[in-house]
Amino acid sequence: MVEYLVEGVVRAVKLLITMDPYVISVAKVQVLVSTSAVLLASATAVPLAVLFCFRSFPLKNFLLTLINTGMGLPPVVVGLVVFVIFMRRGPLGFLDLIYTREIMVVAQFLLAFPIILGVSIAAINAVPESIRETAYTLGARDREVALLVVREAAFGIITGILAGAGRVFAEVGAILTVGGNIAYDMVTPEGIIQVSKTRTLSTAIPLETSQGDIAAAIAFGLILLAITFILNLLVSVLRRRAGVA
Amino acid sequence: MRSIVRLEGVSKRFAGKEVLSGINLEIREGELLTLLGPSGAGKTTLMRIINLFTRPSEGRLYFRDRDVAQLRGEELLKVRRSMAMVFQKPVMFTGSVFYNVAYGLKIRGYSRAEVERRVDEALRLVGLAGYEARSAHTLSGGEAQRVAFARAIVIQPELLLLDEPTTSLDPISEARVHSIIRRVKELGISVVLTTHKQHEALALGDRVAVLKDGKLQQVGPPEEVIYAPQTRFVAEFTGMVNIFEGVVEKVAEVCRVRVGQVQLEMPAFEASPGERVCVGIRPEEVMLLRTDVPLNPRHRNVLEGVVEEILPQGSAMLRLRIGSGGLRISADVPRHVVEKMGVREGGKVLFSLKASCLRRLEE
Repeated sequence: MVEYLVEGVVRAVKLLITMDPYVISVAKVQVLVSTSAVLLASATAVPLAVLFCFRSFPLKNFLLTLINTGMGLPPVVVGLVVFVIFMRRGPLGFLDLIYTREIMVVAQFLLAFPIILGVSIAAINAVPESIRETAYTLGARDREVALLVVREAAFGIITGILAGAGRVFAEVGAILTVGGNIAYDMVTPEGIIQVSKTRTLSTAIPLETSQGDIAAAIAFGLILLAITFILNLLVSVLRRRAGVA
Repeated sequence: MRSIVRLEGVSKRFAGKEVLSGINLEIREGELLTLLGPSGAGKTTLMRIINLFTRPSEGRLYFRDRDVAQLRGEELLKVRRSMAMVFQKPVMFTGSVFYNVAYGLKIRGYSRAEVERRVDEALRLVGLAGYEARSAHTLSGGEAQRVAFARAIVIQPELLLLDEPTTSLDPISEARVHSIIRRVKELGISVVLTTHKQHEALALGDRVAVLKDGKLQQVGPPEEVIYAPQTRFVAEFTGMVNIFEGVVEKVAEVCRVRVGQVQLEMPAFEASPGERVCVGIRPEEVMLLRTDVPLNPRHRNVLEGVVEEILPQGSAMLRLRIGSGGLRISADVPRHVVEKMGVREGGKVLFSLKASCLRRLEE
């Protein structure tokens, strides 16, 4: 039993060291999809958070409740909704995006967006009113005040972005449902190798496990662990710096 | 002297509650006007109106003879950019001292070289030369307040608004800030300073405006406000602790007012016999008289009393609380005089309330 596990780990490390093309291609898809989703979500959520905090409008509190609810959406449900919208017979079916990396980005965007938005709003709201007032008394325009406030809230906003990243790198349900966990065989001079199309680290793990390839599953798990470890390390470093500053 | 800001009949209501009413006030070019009043008097609201943060509910606000009360957008910005404000609690932006001081210059689009030159100059003025690279959040309260001053002065405003800038500072930091304020004035910048500390208002102000419950009580040079307060409130707030209610007995060149069992003579004022009035005298104007020499007939309002209490009043003065004819009078007397005359608690003293120092106060 233990030997089986040790052998799995040893083979997993070997796969990583030799840069096994299959493992690398799966990791690449994961990083590509999840990073794109986080970048797009950040690019939209942060400016929206600024607008949200600087403008008053009806139903603002209700909207904030919705955003906060969105922070805890079950990934599988998000995947299902995106699938239903984009499936052949769905309203956006003509785009023919099901089982592509693009649709995976869309699904993960929906998971990351409320988190980044919600955390950014909280961070911006936590910047004391007196900061804005001081900037105004020094002759700042609205735009300049907004920039200053974002700068003051930077640690909180970055924490939100990293939290969004943590979520999308860890989730399985959404990308599995819309991406289909597809890999294909490719003929190369070295022989036939498997290459990922929409298979990611998180979706590959249950598949390889169920197929009995524990070594591959462990290799994927190690990469995923390393990624989440780095993300969390960044969060805690930033938290500490924010605490001092 | 030209006026830089003029308020005419300015009132402000928040949710139906009148915070300021009928304020007429002029801030003259190059002067330092102190706005003295207790918390809740409306000082901050008045500052915010001048800084175009709050629109008056009524009245007009002129900046250099231009009505600016209803300005918006870029026009408002242009006027506000000729002022700067420092708050009670210094607000530091996250970043270096340089970043903080340079902020107002950067948003005005000054060149890097000009920004550096001016920041250096401003930090020198507040005595923090060489602090550029320090993180603003590591400064002490007093240092942060001085950075806030540098940040405001660096843009060379025509008018500097200081909203209780020394309230949260210790006495040493307060003294530093006072000397910075004097230097700012020397640069020709007009200053409005709000404070609830009478010593500060009187020591720094070219003129003092006393505010109570949203209404201006008196505006004038410090000596006038101290020695000729018009209302009971101004008198109390500026340290006139001897205030009595009495009845007018005689109106002539010299008026006579009966307070308890004591008759006081004082300079003429308009009143009719039998009218109830309020009169006051500052504690340092109560004069102890020697009992070992004949009484000088010049002295008016000579009273005898018993010293009930002797309290230190600063380092050089003692405050005697004297009971006399049902009155309680405070007299501030130099320590050495008290010692020389052998005055002690429970002993009898002769003193005079100098007639010309007694003043009638409006309620």
